[in-house]
Amino acid sequence: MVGMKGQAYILPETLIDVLQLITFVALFIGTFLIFTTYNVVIKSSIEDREAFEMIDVILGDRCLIFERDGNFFKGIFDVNKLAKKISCVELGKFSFKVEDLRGNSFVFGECSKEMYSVPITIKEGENLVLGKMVICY
Amino acid sequence: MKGTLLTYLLQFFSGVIIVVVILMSSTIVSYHIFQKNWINSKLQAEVLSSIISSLSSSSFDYKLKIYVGNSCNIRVSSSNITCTIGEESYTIKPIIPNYVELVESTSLCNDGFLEIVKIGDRIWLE
Repeated sequence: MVGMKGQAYILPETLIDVLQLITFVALFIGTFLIFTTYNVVIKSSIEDREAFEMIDVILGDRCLIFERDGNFFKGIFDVNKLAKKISCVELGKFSFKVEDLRGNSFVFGECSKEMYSVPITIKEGENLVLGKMVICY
Repeated sequence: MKGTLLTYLLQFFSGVIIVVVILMSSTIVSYHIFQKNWINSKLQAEVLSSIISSLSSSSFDYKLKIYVGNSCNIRVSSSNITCTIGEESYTIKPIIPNYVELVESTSLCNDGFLEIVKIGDRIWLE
């Protein structure tokens, strides 16, 4: 009976040790992940910033946007200029496409991985058609 | 005995993880302490690059005043912006359309203010 008591006493103590260690390991893995995530956020934020700048510049690209009487309309693309597929912005690692709600699409570059999209308007003759511009990486 | 062996193994691996976490966190912290000037010059260059990109996408003329204090060693050359703080410098190429010209210029920073001027398709620092 004494031996049985001893065995019954040792088992929970070991379990507590194991649980303690698991808790410590989880705590330190958590800390490790915080630092790793920090690094990932810092690195990916550069690409995000460049993507937002690229969106802003493309929305005001005179080679693509609608013009009337020497005035350029930011965010309104000219369908004739889009058809020429000539952008005045050096795209580098980025690419983009402009799609309207009718299903027409104008792709500049490969556009394999889509990052962000913004609503835009396309001027087709006298009509204005809603659409979106997608920036790709 | 099996329970004890498991405990030792867990102690060993937790020790390894603790060492890795301490090494990694100390590396990151020391990196930020020793590279402070480099990081600040990079941040300054990125902010100015974003501002210039934004200006270049507009057809209006602008004259922007930005407070930079003593961190005023900023230069534009060959379509690049170079910011220097201390002995560390960072160069960045802003995203602008090819019809916009970044005029070679250096910041003067009267009273700690940097001026970015855009007239027509030309942008420069004053």
